[in-house]
Amino acid sequence: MLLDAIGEARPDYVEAAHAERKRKKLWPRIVAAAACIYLCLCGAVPALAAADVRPAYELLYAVSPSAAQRLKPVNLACEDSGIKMEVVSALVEGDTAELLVSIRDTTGSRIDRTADLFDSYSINTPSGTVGTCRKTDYDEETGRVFFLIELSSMNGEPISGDKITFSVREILYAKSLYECPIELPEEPSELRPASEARDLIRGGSGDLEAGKDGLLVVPGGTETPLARGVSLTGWAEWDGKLSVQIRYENILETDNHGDIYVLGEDGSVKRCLYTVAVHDGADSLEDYVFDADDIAAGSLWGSFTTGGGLVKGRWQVTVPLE
Amino acid sequence: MEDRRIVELFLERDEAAISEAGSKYGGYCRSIAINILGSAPDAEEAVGDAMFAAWNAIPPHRPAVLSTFLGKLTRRAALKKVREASAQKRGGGQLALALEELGECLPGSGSAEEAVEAAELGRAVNAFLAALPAQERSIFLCRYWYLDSVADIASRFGCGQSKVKMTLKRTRDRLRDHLEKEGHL
Repeated sequence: MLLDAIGEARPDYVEAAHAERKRKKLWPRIVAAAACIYLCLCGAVPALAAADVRPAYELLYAVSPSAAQRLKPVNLACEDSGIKMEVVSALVEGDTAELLVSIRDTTGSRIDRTADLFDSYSINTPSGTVGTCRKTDYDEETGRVFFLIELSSMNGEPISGDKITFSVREILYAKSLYECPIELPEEPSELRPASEARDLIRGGSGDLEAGKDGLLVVPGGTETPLARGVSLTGWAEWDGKLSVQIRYENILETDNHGDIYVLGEDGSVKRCLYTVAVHDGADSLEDYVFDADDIAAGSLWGSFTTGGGLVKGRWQVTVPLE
Repeated sequence: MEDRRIVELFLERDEAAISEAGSKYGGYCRSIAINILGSAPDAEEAVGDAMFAAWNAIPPHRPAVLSTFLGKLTRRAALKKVREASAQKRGGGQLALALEELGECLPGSGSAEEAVEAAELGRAVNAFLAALPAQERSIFLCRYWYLDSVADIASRFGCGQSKVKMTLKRTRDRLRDHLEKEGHL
């Protein structure tokens, strides 16, 4: 039976899947624990004001008493470029440390619910670690965006040392979401073997190996703007497939990204077979490769997220551990 | 207690191994069993069966990763319970839904089970999993190894349910193609 065969999946794959399950569940636990701490110790920790942990109240029911006892309010903050970053609370358990971090604009309204740390965060600890950062909430009243930072020691050993220094270098804000139809020009573009651009391929999705052996659209003709910083560079049909190429401008400063899909007349959605992304200077050229029959059966749509502004600075907070 | 020490307790035939394993991984195993069985008391029984199976398996087996080993035994015990009760389609857990979805890849899996060596199929599935991007593989395993609901997976991966369904659909399609190519269909 197939379900039994899946049960024989390699332990490292199963562990990796479980790590995702575990990590994503931490948020309600840690925030609810923050609420408990606040309720118990609000007199002793006045800085953890009610408005600061508003999401926590909504999630209080989910709290584990043992987690509530472990969580430590931190409330250390720093400010640069008119943006205040605060480490609200932190938890260290074995090989994993978690920090609840917020940012807000003290001089204007740049920070909104779309704000993003743009992978520019880092944590320095005595031992090597790997970290992840996830936006968890936006408090409209205070203009604060909350992030949950998690780091685990690379060797699986308990995190040692007496402090963690968390720092951020860049913050993206005012990101926009576009959803628009895409009209392909009449004339197709030329194609080239993907192997010619092998050194410039920076990733993709789906069957990337097939993508590396396939063909890519050659940019260079008239481009059709689709959204701020996003344009259609061309399309071409080959071998029963149809490639549509999108240019995302200046991705290292904007985090421009998106997806395109075929919308059927009955409302069904068909995705591409795979994508291949190639560096073109600061831009990314992404080929979306569809089954040509799928495209003929519907209309092409794009969904794009583009960055509005980038603020650079040096935000750094050192959190003492026990 | 470290996993290595717990495994040593099993090898030494010390019954403390079961309580230590249960204390460390009982919650993890229960979460797997409850996804399949949909009932806390049944899940508790399945975890008990899994611990007993671990006691019988170690030695001679010496698991490299204790957590997934216990998880696999729990999953097996829970699936066995469902089958013994002939309740696949009526069970309260995620199993009926997962089976229905996987039916697209291996229709009539009951009869195919007899025709295909389980080990070969397992190898084919692992080869397929190895070729998947990491996130798609994890989503697939959350659904079909842990039998998590689509809603849970969506919230854990920070995306919409439709995206999870779409990802699963595409992965199943590819699995079907892979199994077909390998001669399992």
